[in-house]
Amino acid sequence: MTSLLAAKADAATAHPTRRGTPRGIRVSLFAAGVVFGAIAHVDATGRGAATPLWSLIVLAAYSWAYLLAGAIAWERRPDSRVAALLTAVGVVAPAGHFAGSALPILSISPWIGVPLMNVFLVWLILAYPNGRLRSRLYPPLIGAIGLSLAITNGLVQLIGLQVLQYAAVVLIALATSLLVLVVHRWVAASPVARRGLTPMVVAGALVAMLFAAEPVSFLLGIPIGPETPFRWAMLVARATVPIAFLFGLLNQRMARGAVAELVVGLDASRVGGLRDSLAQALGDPSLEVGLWSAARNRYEDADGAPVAVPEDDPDRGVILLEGSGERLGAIVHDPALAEDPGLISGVTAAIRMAVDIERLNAAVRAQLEDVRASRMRIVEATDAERRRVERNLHDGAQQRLVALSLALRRAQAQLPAGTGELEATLSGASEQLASALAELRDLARGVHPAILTEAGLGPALRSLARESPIPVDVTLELDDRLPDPVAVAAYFLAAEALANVAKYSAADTVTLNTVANAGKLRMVIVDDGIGGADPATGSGLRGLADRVAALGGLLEIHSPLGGGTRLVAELPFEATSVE
Amino acid sequence: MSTRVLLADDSLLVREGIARVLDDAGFEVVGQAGNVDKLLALIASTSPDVAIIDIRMPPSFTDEGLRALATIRERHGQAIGILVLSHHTEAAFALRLLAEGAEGTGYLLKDRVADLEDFADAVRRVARGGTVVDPAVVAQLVEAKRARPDPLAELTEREREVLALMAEGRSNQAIASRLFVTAKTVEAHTASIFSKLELLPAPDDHRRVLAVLAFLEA
Repeated sequence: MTSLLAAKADAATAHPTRRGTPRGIRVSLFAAGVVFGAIAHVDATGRGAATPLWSLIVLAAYSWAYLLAGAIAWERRPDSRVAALLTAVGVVAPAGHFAGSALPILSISPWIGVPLMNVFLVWLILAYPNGRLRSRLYPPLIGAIGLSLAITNGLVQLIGLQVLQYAAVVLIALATSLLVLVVHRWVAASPVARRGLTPMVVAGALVAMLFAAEPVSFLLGIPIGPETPFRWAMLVARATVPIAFLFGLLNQRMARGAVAELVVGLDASRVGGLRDSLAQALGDPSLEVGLWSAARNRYEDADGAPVAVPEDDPDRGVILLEGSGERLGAIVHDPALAEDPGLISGVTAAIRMAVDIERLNAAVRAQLEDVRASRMRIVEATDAERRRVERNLHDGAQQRLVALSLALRRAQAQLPAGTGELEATLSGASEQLASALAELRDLARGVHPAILTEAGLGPALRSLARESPIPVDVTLELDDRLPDPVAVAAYFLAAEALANVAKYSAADTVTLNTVANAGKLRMVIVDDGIGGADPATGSGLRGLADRVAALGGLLEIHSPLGGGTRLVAELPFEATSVE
Repeated sequence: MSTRVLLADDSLLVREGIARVLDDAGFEVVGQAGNVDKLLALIASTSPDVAIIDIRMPPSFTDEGLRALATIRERHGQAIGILVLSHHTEAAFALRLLAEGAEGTGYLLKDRVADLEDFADAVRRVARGGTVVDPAVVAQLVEAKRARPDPLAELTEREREVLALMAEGRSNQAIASRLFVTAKTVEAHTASIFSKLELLPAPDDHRRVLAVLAFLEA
């Protein structure tokens, strides 16, 4: 058995290893966030009837949604910065609810907590999905938003809401910048990246508009204090971020589902099909698949054109496929795909399976080819052996018997008169010898019919039909010269079938139709007898079925009770036209 | 003057056996060949009346005899009678043989050499330019024909006998003596057979054999 060659992806090129956040810290942060949210809850409840219960539940649920999304993200990738940011938002969010708390230390927390939460939130929106801030513009914007909110909040606390009319200009400008950057990021992204970004861009745009909404609403005289519809809209908008994140996860799940389908679809596809299947499964039209050509020392696509495999290009991701230490190929893809290592490992596994299946298929095909060839050789060897036996019967035994019968006849002729008894004995011996010769002739013919070799299938079939005790209506169309094994198989099929018709069918007539053209011999033998022939019980036909199969042909026998028997055989051959 | 015979068979045993019985029967065996080359050389040097040739000879032991026959006909025309001895009762072989020209040609089962009189008779007929087809081959054809929707059903028993004898290559005279009737009676039978089977009357015995065989074989 051929060993399974494992293709493995070198995912390291696409994913520089980052140290993950230890599980202990992750669990602690999650717990701290939950507890903090709960305290805010209890604290706010303590302040009396001003805050209805349902609003508190919404508040808690809002911060916990971030914590939960963060925990899920961290479970998937302990090194995820997005997870850290989600958790950070979730931990800091409750701080906003301590405004007006009885505990002085908590009452100042919104001053720091709310700007800090927004810093994490904007950072998260801009860094999604890989946690990196790709533009130099992002950090100053995040800082500016944080600082502006902190100052505005502080001033609002100290002076009053009227500060907002002065802060409005700055906040609207910052919100607009954020909106522009978020939309630009989406527009500039590759199709693959765009697909992943979409939910977060929607959430980011909502959040950006809310930054502007606060001062705008104030200027328009819309109430924006606690428990106002404006606050609720704000909360709901912010809650879109974890929801967007979960959408992103769902997207990846679906992409992996597509990869799973890819595994199913791959077995039939070769390189060209592979590229298309992969591009479709991963949603990356820019994807290229290169197979390693050792001869030309390069990667090539299905058409043999070179495929460039960049060593270190931030704009292209590369998966190298290797099997048993040898290069097999490479997949060059949109780097955004690398955001989901599960997707990459799924693809790698799919390709490994495809490569294994392809190799196994090749091995099976090769073995099948071997078996076919050896079966063919066995048939040919059998034919050759039969021919040899037939020749030996004629040229050995038969010749000797002929010579013997001549000698006997001479002896009879030379007998003196009056030896009646001896004469009778010799005459009997002569007759026995004649029968022996006739039997030997039939035997030799059954082993291998000389007429087939010397006159061809047509005369041989007519000769068979002539011998049949049941009349055979013969139609022959033998346009092509037949290879010996095919002619022999067709002859013995007809011989066996006609013998069976004569023995079992009680038929009145038989038709034998044989057509050989365009590389295929088709023989149909139909009788009008009692039917019910079972090819499984007749060793003769079963042996012939093996012979037909060895030649890559088909043999069908249809024999309903009372409905006659119909035998159809098809034998392919390499056509050589008659000169 | 006795009939001069040339024998070709790869088996020395059979050649010697046939040579002896022919010698006993008053034939002159002018030469023996174990292969086709020797046969062709001896034909040229001895000009026999009849060459008796085994259908299977070296090197391939298939139809060397038939090919030798074609060569002889090409070189010597119908002047030399050729009796081919075969192990096969297949009519296809006989017809293929006669297709080269039925005159002075015979196809006999090898076993038949032991029926001394029949064999000697066949050799003489071929030597005289007649046609000989083995009765077993004819019998097979007739039997096969009768199993089909039978065109021979219209023939009387006697007519069928006459038909078989015609197919063996026998002349009206020979048929008459075999059936103990007059030649005129045989002529009447043959005319009747030809009309019943819708065969065109053949101008000579050789073509008559071919016509009858072709009818039976079809």
